[in-house]
Amino acid sequence: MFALKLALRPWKLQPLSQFLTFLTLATMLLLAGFFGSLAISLPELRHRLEGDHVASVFLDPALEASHLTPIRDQINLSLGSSAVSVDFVDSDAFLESIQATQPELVKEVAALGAEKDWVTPKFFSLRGTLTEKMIEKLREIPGVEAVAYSAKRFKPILENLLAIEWLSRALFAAILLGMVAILTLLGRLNASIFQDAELIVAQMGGSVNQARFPARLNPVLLAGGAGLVSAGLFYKLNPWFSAKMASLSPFLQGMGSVGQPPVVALFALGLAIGVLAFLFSPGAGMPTR
Amino acid sequence: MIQLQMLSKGYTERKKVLDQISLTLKKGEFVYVLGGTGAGKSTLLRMLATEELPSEGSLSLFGYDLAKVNGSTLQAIRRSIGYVPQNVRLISDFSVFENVALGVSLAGSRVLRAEVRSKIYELLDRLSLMNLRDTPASKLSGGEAQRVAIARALARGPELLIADEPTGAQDFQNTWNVMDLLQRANISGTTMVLATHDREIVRKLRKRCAILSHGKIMIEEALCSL
Repeated sequence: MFALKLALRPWKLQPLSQFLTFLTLATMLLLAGFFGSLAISLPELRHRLEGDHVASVFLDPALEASHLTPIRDQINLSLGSSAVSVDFVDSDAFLESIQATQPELVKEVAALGAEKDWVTPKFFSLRGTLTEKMIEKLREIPGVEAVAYSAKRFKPILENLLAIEWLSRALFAAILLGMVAILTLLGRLNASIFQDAELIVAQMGGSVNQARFPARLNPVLLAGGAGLVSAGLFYKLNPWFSAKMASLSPFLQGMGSVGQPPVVALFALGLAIGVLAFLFSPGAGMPTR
Repeated sequence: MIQLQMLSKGYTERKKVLDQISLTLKKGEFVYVLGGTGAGKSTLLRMLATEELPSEGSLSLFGYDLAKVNGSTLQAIRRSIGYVPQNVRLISDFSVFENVALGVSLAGSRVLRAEVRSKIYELLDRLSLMNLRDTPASKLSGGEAQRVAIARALARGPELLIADEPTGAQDFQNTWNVMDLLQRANISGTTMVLATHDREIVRKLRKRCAILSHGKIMIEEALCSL
């Protein structure tokens, strides 16, 4: 109780510096939360994009409808247990897919009547994680004319995401280091506030740790409190932040908002930083004699 | 209990505040340290309170040579001492009760039991501080603060009580209240070392005394004859 009262002494004697430090720490933790959530959610998104391949298995135009089922079976066999969606795109579906971008062409092809099946490609559209080996097997299926495969279609995006991911991690670490530095400096500035109490406690037979405990407890309370406030703010603001991020690019839409655990982690992070500052906190030059 | 052998203390090479003092105190003794301003009384008491070490000679408390004790022994020694410094040293934003209770909690009673509380209240009452028990130390007068420091030292139930001018800022009534409490503590076994300028106290409560002058013990009497 005495230690807690002494630990809160700077709020009485230096309220402005305490309040500003508290505000700064809460803001920094909030930013750390945003960068941390980016660093957590981007790898998931990146891995998903890395595994999102598209292949088109073009069929011989002379193939009849009865051949489609055996070819589909062979395609599924070639893919093994890999989760890949296999959809057949016939001439109608193909024309529908280009309707928006090539309306004139669609009209011309449609005018050909039954012959349109000869001029439009018939193919299976594959989407999922595909390997070169699978593609090779697909090419060997009888009735398959060609296989178009785009393994590296997201390469520039993935590189950008990786860069943002590392930048988020670096900023996250920098913010935490900055917080420890601020608390350590505050500890030094506050040392004189605790000096008299440290001397009295030491003189009455308290240990060095007992004497310095209030001075060390102060940054723990400050950072813990800032952690609590920033966790609350993060809980409120993160859906908005995630929505803004998602609106930047369709690729970011799968990122989603970070759930409850990181919110609690933000409070724990504040406390942990306070404890670090506790360990680095200087004494007020208390004599051992 | 206390043994000073050829003890000297100097803050500069040339001038010694205390010069080759030897003194032995047995458990339960009551000793006045007398002398004029600058005689070295406060320096001697600071050393007895383990705040400073001698420049030369040796100082033993409770059988331990202070120059050789480790940190934990030093803490144990300090827990057995009640010290009323001349400049009082209270925690300014703590109330009177909290200042006294802090001393008790550091002496071992982490949880203030009812009996400890009532002992503190009794002390505060005897020192006319009961009505000020919730007042912050920063709002006390010099005399009141001095009495709080005395209560803090006594509440710890020390084996050795060192008081530097404990009645220097007290009126007549409070001076004798303080001396009455110190005498009672002494009767119940506390060794007492008291520096004072007050000849009236020394005359009325005749005890052993050591008179310092220019850092030396000039007169030492078993029963002070001032």
